Amino acid sequence: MGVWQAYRALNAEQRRVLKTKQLSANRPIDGIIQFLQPLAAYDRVGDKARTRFGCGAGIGIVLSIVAGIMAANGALPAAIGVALFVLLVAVTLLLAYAWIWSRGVDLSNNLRQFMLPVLSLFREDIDPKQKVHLRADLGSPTAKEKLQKTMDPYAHGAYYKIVESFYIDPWASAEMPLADGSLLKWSITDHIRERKLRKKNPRGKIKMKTKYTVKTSVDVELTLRSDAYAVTAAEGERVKAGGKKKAIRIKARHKRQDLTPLDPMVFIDMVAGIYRRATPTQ
Amino acid sequence: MATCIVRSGFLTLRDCGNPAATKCATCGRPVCSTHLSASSGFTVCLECASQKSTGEGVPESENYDSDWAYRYRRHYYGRGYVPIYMGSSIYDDYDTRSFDSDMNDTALDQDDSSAASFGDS
Repeated sequence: MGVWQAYRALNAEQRRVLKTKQLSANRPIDGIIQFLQPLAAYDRVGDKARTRFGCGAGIGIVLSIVAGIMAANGALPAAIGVALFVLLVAVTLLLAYAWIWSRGVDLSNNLRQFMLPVLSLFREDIDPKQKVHLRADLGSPTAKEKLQKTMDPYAHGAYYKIVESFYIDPWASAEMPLADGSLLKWSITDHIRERKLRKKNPRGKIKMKTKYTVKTSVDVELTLRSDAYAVTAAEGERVKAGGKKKAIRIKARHKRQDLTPLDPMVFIDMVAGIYRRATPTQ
Repeated sequence: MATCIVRSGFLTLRDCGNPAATKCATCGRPVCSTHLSASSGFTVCLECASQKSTGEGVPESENYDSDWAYRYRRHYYGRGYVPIYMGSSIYDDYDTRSFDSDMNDTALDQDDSSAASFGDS
């Protein structure tokens, strides 16, 4: 499927999510998955297309310059040279526009590499008749509004300038009523450190690179029916026991050195870890 | 009418219970239309289709359909997770924790209280 076909397959509500990057859904699980699947399909082909648009625009700039020089030098007949130059500039502008446009409607990979897999795996555990509340920020984790502070530049070793910026991205939370009468609440927040480093290589050329460290906080609260499960709390775990329900809350931190989405298995292990300690009473 | 016998769920398992549409071409059990594997051309149940998948790593997919979910489920259970089974049908290879609630330590102790005889292995 091409990027335009994938985009045209989206309805008005899905295009609004693409534009605003904000998802707030309150509907049964099947409806949420059906809503997210076309968005994920678009984002997958959109990522590939954006790379092609960008590379194409870069090659177009080079070819336009070459055609312009050749036309100016008389290496090509004037009419052909000018026509070729104009054509290449037009194609380059078109590709550059497509690249800018596709950047504007790009969604975070958290959608298709975390959220959709987790929802698809838990689909049959979720009560199909009840509504799932899902909120997600699918914008860039290093968007301006998520910036907390930027430190003063400093030097270290070979790097003559290092600028550190810190971002907080509370990008997802959800409430899922499960088929066994339990309620699963979770939220995920990424704490990001961005380091922009500059150094000079032995030939005096300035080299720049950006490095990321992401600490992801995952909060999971599973409320189990007391008449359905007996639960043994693990060490350091908070268990809130009410009359008919027991809420088990666990937190985990996961650190990684790039902006790749959290592995769904980290989250699944947390929820499954609570179920491991639950014993059915019936 | 026969009902679908596929164990649905991931964290906990239960009988699907929907009216069966056909029989699985591999195991011969009745299966509803939602638990037929698209990758098999809707002839095999998702559980049988997931057994046929090869590879040790996490299953990959682009559209995260039911085939992928059941492959992932099998992979995940292979890492040691034993789901709670809440259904009523017979034991299968996923269903071991349903025995736990019936397991009575005193009954085990009583078994062990008698001296071993030559008949014991």
